[in-house]
Amino acid sequence: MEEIYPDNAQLLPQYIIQKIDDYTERECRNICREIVFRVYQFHEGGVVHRKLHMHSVVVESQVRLLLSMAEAVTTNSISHGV
Amino acid sequence: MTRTVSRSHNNCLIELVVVFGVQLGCADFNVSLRLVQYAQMIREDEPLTGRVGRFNQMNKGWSAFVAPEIESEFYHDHRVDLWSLGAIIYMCLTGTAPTGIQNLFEVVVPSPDAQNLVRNLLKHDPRERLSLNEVLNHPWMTEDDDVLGQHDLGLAKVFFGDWFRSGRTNSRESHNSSSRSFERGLPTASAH
Repeated sequence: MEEIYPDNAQLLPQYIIQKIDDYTERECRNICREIVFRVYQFHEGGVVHRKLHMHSVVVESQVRLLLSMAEAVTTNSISHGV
Repeated sequence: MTRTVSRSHNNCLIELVVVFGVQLGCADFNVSLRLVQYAQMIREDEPLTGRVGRFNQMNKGWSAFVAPEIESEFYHDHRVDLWSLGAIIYMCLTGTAPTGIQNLFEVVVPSPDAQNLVRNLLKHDPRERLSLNEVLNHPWMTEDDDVLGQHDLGLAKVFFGDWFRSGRTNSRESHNSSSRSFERGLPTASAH
């Protein structure tokens, strides 16, 4: 299997550690806001991720975040006992 | 796109991701698709359990990020992602997963607004969690950059540094070896 994310992309923990010297609550908030916004977009599209965690977030650049979508489902397909 | 879909034709879930990747206008849906496999590897591998002591406080690895209603197999909806968001924000603030040790959280996180946001996302009752609109308009999310820039997350830096030294920040090298394991069909059950 070839590379599964772009050369210039990093997983979120990697990204934070790279920025650790300048890591303040501001950087933390801005990262989190991007993540929230991406989740918002998914929900708007009717998709629920269900397996969000630190390694689900890929930082492709300083401002762009991608979310992996393991076990994502459409909103109307969630039911009892899933 | 065709090649990717045919490679994973047995996994309707992945095909679903492709469909919605297009619908959501994600130009890099191929990347997202591959990340599905990678995320599964992470989940199966439980990489932090046993590597970083703080994660052993729960003895559940990544389960801190999974909403309780999923684990208990109750009815669940989009609000499961709100729990996970709370856990991610908690970890970004503290460098540790939420373990129910409230005192640590209060010491490490300087901002009452941040504490308030996380507390209102990590609610066991999904009906009590903030909505995404409320999250985006929360005072912590809209706080001035200059104010938050003064708050150093010293302990989080220590914990993230510890994590880094444990070698589990998933360098590309370790990821590639994981991918090879995935190709060989690493059994899901054996990892748990």
